[in-house]
Amino acid sequence: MRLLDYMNDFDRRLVFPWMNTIGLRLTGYELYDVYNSTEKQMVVAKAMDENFQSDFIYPLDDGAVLKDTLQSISGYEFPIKLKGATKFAEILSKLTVPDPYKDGRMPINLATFKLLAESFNKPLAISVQGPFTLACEIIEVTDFIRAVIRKPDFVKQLLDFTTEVVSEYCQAVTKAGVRLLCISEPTAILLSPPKFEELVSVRLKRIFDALEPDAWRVLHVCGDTTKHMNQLLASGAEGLSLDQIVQLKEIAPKIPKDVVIIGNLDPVDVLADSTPAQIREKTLELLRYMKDYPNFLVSFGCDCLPDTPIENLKAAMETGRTKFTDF
Amino acid sequence: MSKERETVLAGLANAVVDMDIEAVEMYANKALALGIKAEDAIMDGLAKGMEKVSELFREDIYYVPEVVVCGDTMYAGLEILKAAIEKNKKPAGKIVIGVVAGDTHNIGKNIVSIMLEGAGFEIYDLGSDVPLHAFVDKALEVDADIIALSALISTTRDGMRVVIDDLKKRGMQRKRFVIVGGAVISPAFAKRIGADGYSADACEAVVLVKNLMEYFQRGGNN
Repeated sequence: MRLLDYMNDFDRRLVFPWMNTIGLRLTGYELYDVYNSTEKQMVVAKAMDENFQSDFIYPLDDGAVLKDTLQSISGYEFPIKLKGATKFAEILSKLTVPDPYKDGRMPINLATFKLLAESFNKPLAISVQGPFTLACEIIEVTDFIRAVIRKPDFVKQLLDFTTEVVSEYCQAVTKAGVRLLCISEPTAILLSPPKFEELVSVRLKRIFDALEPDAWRVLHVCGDTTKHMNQLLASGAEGLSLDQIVQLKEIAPKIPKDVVIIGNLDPVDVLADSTPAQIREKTLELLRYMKDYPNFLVSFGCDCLPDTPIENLKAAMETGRTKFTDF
Repeated sequence: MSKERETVLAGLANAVVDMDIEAVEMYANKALALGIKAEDAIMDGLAKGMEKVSELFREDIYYVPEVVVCGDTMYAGLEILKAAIEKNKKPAGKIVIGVVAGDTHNIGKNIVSIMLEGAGFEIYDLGSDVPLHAFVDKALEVDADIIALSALISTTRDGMRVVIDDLKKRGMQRKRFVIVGGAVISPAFAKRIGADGYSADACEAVVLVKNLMEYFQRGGNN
């Protein structure tokens, strides 16, 4: 069943809980303690579910797992600065694709996903860094985007490598029970649409194509992606998570009806800086102007700030679940 | 303007836009050989090129990679020309610049920094992810006229207010200005935190700084 078919079985919108670190506040745990413990991830997921009754189980994303694992295997200190004497071939030769079942924290994460998928009667969702963003963690970001112009062959080779890393991990996580896989490519917004297509879209498609058939493939790119829409769609994602800067009203008619539009309450101006009453009103406003789009899923434009008031988040989540007949 | 001078200045500007380091170095050397003042070559050649780059960026023709490499090209020309600027010439003003803590995006800041240096200001570039206290520390140490703050992610922009408050507490000896910019900064936000100025891009930043410096030229603090 595709994500869109699953959504259409409800008499209301589904709400995606884009609030990665909030579980730490609810439990009092430290970040790396949770990364390293399946049991603590379970406590976090339960606390999140009890507080927000979300439509998805969204544990604390281990956003550093790929970078940390690659760093320990290669012996490099990331990010690498590209200097005049940098030996590009040497960098590439020291990077090997980790085994998700053996290396770094990956096996812990896979065990966590398996446990969560078996423990909750809701789809499990996680977010994984995309290949471009991962490359910008390996190579200092300004140097890497310089290399996009000055060293295009090196860039393509590194991106082929990071694509394989992300793909291997994503295949393993969907086999472990993750249903909704969101690939986050925040840094790729720095590229022009043609470069995005050449360097990012084709590689994302390779990753999505290799996933378990019943996995829901979602893409998130931060910033104003209005001009990159064709490139986002070319990735083969069945759901696009759009930043709050994107004007949903304008972009929605241009998105195919079988692609889910996910977004885009403002995590700063609305969720962090408004009152619960104002947030309810903003959420209803969003529901109303997207009412003609069955392919719409309520979420935030990006991950919420770690100190967002819990009551604000509850207001958004509850209002997002308002029945079609009630707004 | 002589034909040759015009060709060299246009060559500098085009080399920046075309990201051609060999050409920019060649035209910078040629400018000096022709006796063109280094300051003129910077402002009417390199900075003109960067203005065109900003225009292409606003029109969504150039994106960040192109802008960064154009900036590198401008730096390559600047290195040659800077060496020829009169050593004891008084700078137009002193500016401490950096990206506030928690934020490693330094592209916009770099462009502003280059443009201000080209306009004759003495720049103290603290880089990115700068601890908030370091801005006032440096401003007091070098007796800067202006602190320029940049932020590209919304979660770090509140650090700007901390710097402004810090300057109010520790920088009372004389007037110093704080200006802000970056993708997540708006004029309303700048006003709300008490900044003295806001600019949307590097060209505007140069105009803003020159306007603020008039305060001192009119005898402010004397």
